[in-house]
Amino acid sequence: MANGAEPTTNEARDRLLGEASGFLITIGMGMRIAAERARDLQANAAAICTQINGDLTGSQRDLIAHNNYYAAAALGRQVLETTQLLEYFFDNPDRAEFWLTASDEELKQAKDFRPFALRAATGASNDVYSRHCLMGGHPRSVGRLLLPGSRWRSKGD
Amino acid sequence: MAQQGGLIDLTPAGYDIQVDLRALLLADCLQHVYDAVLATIKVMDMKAFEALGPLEDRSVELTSKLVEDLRNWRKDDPLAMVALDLKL
Repeated sequence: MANGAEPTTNEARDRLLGEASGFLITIGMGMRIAAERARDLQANAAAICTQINGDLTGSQRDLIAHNNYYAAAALGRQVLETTQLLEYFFDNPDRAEFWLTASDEELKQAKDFRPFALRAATGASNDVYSRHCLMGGHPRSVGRLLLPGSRWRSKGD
Repeated sequence: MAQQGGLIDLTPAGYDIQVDLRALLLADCLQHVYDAVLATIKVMDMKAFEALGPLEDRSVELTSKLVEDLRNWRKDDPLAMVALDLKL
């Protein structure tokens, strides 16, 4: 390391990811309980997104621990989209309520919930999203770089 | 990114390090869970902590520590600024 500090280990990265996903799972549950007590639909929508992010990031951690790198990367795009929803709900609470109560067909028709529109509304990066589509959000042959036999992976990894 | 025997060499990208794929994936997850945690804190209120009952005070403390730890990670880990790009 150029600055002389201790290098960050994979164990440290894994532990921090576990703490962050654990927070999202726990506080997501707290948010759900509070929202349902208050019958607050907007808060309930945010709680569900938080629980989704907790589940996704905890699963990414488990998949990486078992060397399922492609599947872990594929979940990354879902995390991006769910976080964009949370950001969108913060600025547009009425749309949180719509998201919670709308049918699948109504959501498909809602132009503001399309991925590009959500990214534009929340200032999220198109490049980051595109990279995650390539990594596993969409099935592409380049995903082989994350699969067993890849030149990026060690033997037996 | 060049590859040497299971390690990915980031020297061409300006980083004097070699990393494994697991490190890059964990770092990518941390980059995005950081944003997810901050977005959650922005939309939630204290009632969510209160709903955790006896865990309320401890949860508030742990949340502050988590945000600090994530900020320190972004500052200290060179991989916090590296994007895993599969474009050939």
